[in-house]
Amino acid sequence: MPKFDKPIVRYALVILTVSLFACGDDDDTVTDTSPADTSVADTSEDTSAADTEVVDTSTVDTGSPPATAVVDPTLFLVDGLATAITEVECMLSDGSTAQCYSITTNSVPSDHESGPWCPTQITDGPEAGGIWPEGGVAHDVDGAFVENLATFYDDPAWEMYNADGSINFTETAEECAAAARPDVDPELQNHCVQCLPEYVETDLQITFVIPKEPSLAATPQDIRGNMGVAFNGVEFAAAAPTDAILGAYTLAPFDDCGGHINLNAGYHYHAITSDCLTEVAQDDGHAPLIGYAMDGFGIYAMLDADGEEPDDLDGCRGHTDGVRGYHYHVSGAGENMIIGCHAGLTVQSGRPPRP
Amino acid sequence: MRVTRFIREVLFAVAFLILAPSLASAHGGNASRQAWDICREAEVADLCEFTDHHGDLHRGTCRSFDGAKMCVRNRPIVPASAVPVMDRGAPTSGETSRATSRRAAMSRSPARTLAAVAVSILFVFALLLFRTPRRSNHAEIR
Repeated sequence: MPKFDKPIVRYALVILTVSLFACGDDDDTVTDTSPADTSVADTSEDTSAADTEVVDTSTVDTGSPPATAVVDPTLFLVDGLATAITEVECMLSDGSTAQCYSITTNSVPSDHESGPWCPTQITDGPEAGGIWPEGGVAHDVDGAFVENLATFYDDPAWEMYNADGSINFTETAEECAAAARPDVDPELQNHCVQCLPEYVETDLQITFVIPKEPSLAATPQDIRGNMGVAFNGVEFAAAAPTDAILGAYTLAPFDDCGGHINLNAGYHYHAITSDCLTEVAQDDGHAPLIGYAMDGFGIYAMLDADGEEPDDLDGCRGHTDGVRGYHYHVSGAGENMIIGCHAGLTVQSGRPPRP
Repeated sequence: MRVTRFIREVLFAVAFLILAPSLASAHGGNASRQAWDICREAEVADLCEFTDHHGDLHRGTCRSFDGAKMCVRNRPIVPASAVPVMDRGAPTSGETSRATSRRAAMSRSPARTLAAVAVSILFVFALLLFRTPRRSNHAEIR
């Protein structure tokens, strides 16, 4: 075959041939479901090196339900509750009915202070501002961070401070509302967005209805609305839309406890930081319990007593052990996420809509 | 001789393949947007990964929050020192990222393919320019 003796054709053929194997391997390199994923059905069977289809590795195996701890309502701080916790009948996401706890809170942290969020001068230190998640790191939003935004984000359009060193930030409830909406008021671009507690209606109440006895769903459920609730009655919220926030050249920092305020939802967490939340220690060195997800499964801190993070978490950031059954572990404070999805059945009805 | 030449060619190809993908996939931007961007065209539960400013590798799956998808890490962070060279971010821009699924791979393949073809052509021409003289096939047969 003389035409293949030409060097250019031969090199191209060799590269093409090796490429086929390399391309197939591209998917394989990240398709490594840990053997310890006992509650996870790894259906991503590798049938062809060049034709690997990645599927949901966090599909829950309902064939062998693990032991599961039930929700303990006595763990909630009384000061964080607007009314006493009650037991109600509820409909779960699979259409079945169950007993649930109805937990109504003021959405104000009773076990720690809230704020500050935005520094006011570029000379301000970290104590004057909160944190901002970027690249897995919780950055202190101090004056220097604001001053450096154009460099940090490699975009000269960032100009959040003025010639006199003052920083632009939202100063009224109206500005807070205008900056927090999806289409940010152009006048509020290059502003640090903070909504203060006094902007929130004093009679705001949030009700969480969670199954008394959690049960795994056939497939993980996307997060819609709340992720869960901390023992102080504050909501664990879905990931903050940092892409939209940054797209409007704004920052909406979390305070040092990982929370900030929305006029409709009040104070809520987007990140879990250490030494803020009320925790329930575990005797076996496991990470402490910090609250419950909306499906009733426990939410635990990220690290155990040895500072280790589990290496067998599924896509929801949950796994199973013999003591706690299925449960979640939160992510790092700089990751703008708490858990990834709900592995269990959530309440379909019985929960009043958010105002 | 044919075997030696074949091995050499395969080594060249492997060396090329090590270099070419890194040229095609490394890109800048900030991780806050990348965590959303890499999952925007992906399906829920597709695998995703990115490296942060420190070069540490974050791996997880795309998850939906109120309808918007982002990369949720579910593996311990791999320190930069343990991250394979291929997965490390560009030194200044800070991060690389990718979502991995058949659909995601297909959606990014045109740009990657074009880049690979361009580099391939340059590579082959470079080889032709600098290759050492060798005997013809006829001489080998004798």
